[in-house]
Amino acid sequence: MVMQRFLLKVRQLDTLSKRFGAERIDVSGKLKGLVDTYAPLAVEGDEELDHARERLFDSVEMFTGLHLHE
Amino acid sequence: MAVGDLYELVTKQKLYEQDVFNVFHYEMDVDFEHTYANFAEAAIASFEANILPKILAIQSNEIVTHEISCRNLFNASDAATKLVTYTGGRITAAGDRGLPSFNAVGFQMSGDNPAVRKGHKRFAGLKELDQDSGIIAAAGTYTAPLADCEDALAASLPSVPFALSDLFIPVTVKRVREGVAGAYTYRLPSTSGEKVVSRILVAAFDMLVSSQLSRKVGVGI
Repeated sequence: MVMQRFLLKVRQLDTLSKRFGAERIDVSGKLKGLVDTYAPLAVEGDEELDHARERLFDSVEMFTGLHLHE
Repeated sequence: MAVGDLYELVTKQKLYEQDVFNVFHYEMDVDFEHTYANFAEAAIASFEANILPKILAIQSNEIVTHEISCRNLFNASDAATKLVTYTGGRITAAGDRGLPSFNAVGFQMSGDNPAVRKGHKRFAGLKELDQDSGIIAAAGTYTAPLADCEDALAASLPSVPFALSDLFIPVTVKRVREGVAGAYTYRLPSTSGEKVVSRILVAAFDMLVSSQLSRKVGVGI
């Protein structure tokens, strides 16, 4: 469910960046902010926060092509 | 008042002297003992204690919640109204003033029944720095309370003060269509036989700030 909530916003930001320009709306900054919000919620079982964050970054790359990994 | 009954709960707020209403629907899931006048009053108490604080946390201190009402759609005697005074929890300041009442953060609510369209909620009371070019400012401190509110909108109402869970389940209600083609009218179900609902599984906020035409001056109430 957390991933579903996160990916909805990734798709919306992808659409908005195409309409308004990725730099103007700072789509990378917004996506990183969302990863920080949802990574703690996405932690399940023994999965660690860093892994959850990497998984969300991977999802962003898959949907938008943006490279967010540090 | 029976298991399966539908309850309509309305929060009435004021922002810049304009009414801002939000309507929530719940399906009673468990019959339970309580000390309130009726189940509608019990639902208000639970909403006030468990859900409303999460909504206030995403609204500015310029918006005031002044009334919560609830009614059983299938039983007119099961209804209640409570006058309250709550302000939003986000403090406005110079350079971070409140946006107009027609600017709102929207939530989509997906349910378990494809026969019912998605539900939507839009909460007014945004501040300038909560958004950036009309898009939610994700890098600030706003997304955490928004994520909490997502959880709250998909959460069941537990009983107060006994903390039993899942007494009222949040649902999206399919309207009953009447009339003829070209002049259809829609209303809420008034009997259990008319009831078609979708239990809300996920609530997710939208990145684009919503502009509510019905809340613009001269259009809304």
